[in-house]
Amino acid sequence: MNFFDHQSARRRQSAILLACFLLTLLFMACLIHGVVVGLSMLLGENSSLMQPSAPALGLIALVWLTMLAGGFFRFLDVRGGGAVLARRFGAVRASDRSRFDREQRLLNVVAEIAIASSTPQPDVFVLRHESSINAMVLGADEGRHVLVLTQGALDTFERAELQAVIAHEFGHIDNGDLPLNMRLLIALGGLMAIDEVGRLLIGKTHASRDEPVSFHPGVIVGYILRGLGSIGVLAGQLIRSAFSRQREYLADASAVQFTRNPIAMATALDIIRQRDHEPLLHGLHAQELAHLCFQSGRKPPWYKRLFASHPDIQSRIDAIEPHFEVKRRKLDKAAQQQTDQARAAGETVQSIGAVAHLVQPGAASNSDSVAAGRFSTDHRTIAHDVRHGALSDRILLLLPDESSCLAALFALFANADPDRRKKYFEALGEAFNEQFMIRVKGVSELIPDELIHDQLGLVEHASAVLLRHVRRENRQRILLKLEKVLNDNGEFTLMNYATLQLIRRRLEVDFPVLHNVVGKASQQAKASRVKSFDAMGSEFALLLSLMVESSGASPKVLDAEFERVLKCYTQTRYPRRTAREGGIVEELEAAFQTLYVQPRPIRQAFVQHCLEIVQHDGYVARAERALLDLFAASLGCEDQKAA
Amino acid sequence: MGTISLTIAVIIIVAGIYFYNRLITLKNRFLNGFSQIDVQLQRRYELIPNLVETAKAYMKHENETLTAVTEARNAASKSCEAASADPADAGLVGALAAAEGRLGSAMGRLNLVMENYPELKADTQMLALQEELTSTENRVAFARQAYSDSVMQYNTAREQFPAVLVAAAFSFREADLFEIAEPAMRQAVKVSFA
Repeated sequence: MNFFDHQSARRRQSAILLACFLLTLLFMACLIHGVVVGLSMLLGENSSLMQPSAPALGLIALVWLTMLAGGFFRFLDVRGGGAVLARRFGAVRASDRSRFDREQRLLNVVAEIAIASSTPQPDVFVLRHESSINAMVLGADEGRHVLVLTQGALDTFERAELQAVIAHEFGHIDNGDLPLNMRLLIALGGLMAIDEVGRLLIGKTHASRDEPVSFHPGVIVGYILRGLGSIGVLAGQLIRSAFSRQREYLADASAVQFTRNPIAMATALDIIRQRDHEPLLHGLHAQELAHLCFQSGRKPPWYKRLFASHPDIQSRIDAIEPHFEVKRRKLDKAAQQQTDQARAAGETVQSIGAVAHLVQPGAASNSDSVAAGRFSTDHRTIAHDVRHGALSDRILLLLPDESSCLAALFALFANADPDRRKKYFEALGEAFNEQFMIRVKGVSELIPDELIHDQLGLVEHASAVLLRHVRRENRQRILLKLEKVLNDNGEFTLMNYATLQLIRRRLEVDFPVLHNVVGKASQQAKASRVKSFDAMGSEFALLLSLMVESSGASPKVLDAEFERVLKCYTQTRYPRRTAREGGIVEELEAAFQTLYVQPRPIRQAFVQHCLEIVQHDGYVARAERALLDLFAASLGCEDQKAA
Repeated sequence: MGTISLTIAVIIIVAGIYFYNRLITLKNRFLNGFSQIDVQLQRRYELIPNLVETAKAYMKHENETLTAVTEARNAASKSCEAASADPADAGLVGALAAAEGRLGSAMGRLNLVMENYPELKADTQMLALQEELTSTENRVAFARQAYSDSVMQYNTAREQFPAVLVAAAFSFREADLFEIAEPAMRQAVKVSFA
């Protein structure tokens, strides 16, 4: 659903609720009439529904007058106008002087959204001493609206999120929620007045138990009024709250229309959710303002949710942007890449600056060059990570549809050696069909660099596309066939195996390794397979030697490193293995099977250790990273690696 | 018989007035949206001289770059005035796009030079100007967006059933979405002091 559809759906629902509210009022009128007339009949008066007796008529008139008066007082209360109300809560007008640069930004954002929503600009107030995050609009029927923001919201939100929050408030203005809400409040005030008067009439009878409960007419009327009033208030509150929740959704949808940035809106809500342990507003008037605010806090139990003025934050996020979590992760990645680029740029500028300072004897040249030096060391590994983690625009452009993505996945396994490459393509042509083979060939010629240097990004992108469009069984079947082709061709090397496992995981196809274990072994059998640390020496030796080897150093260095890391596990000496041995993949799978059933802390410790090995020389090679991914996934510790 | 036809006639007239007024409201709304775009483009041109003035205080030896920016800005401002007087003229819009391109590259050079003046980045006035420029970019974008939204609303209202008769009778023409021919004009003037 796009936001225009959202808006019309919300409008329809709130119209229904509004009709319900009017019906409630009507029902209340009938109820009052019926009860009073019935009572007078019980008392022996000569009255009927059509022609109530004089006292009954008087009572009905009294109830109506009470309602009108209650509504009128409430009207006087809210009529005062936004600015007056805002000042009463201690808000001050936002200043555009440069001392308050955040308020200047706020004013700018308000001006922007006013343009986006084609609404006149409201007055802007800030609660400077309010550290919680909130925003609200105040204002009466005509005249200018007043937008109030807390200092906490100003300090916390980035520009885009601030835009979203402001746009939400503009949504309230644009949809005419304020006058509607005020009318509902006035009607509700009338219903409350009945209850209030009833309470007055009952008086102090409950104060002391010694006095006999008196049943003079006033008290009876009081009880009746209280009963009627409570029913009315309850029903009215229920409907008004439901109505208010619909209007919140509507304002959210309008905000997205104005900013065209659902992610920012969802992020703003997410930030609020993360800080939900804080009170919403600290001020004295917090209760009074609740229904006007941008948010109303944490998820309450169901019976309170019926009376909540705002929907639960998660459902608001879901309504705006159902795939918020995924998209935010993607954005975070992109943002990190940008900062790293900026950092890389900053590095060159920094060093230029340092030189400039040396020429003109300046003050801080020393610290500058030190800073530049520090950047260059940790920068290398981060930039490397990023290059593999994020997608290049080229990939997105060249591989737009699922068939090209599938071809790209197959192209990953084409060998650099021309003869074996040719054999691989031929096998593909046999196993699948000629056309597909040509397609894979085409893709491998189209993006030769990415196939070598950006495998991770490629796999990430292609699997994301395939995951959406290809059914699970078909994904599984395709991968099984690919594995068979690789196996038959003798291409099932360690690196290919790691890549295949990565693709498997990204496509959410079951791991054969894990599958076997889980399928065959019951919990008991699992326990019996737990081995002592020393008995698994050969498995550890195998994994560690592969891990060490993937760093690509000279054999001598590798031997020393292997020696060093193996000592942590076992005293027995094992020879260092290499990925070039035949049948290494089968052995690796067997090792995974053995290790997978060991207690989780052991597996976690091992993966952690591998991570340290990889980072030991301060540089993460592609092969190292692929292998680490494979280990972590095969041992069921993926979450840990992410951390 | 007479009363029935009279009633129908009254209903038709009232409905006609209602739909006519609604169309007029929507039409005025999108016309206002169009003028907003123009206003915000001008606002952007007005901000650039302030930026140059502030930069001048620190960059005594970069007169050449600063003059280039000022000249490019004047040219773009002039083309914008000409183009807004007659938006239908593709030649004028093209000239504006070219002027915008020159202004963009001049600003780019200025930013590059500014990198060498760290104290400029800490200047509060500069920070305020940066905020203003960002805001203006947003306003231009939002004005365009609001314009297309209101055009959509107007066109939808115009084409819906009873209103389409009123629209035909009073010649409410279909409104066009605001598209700029040259991609260069769409680009914001990139200003970053990061």
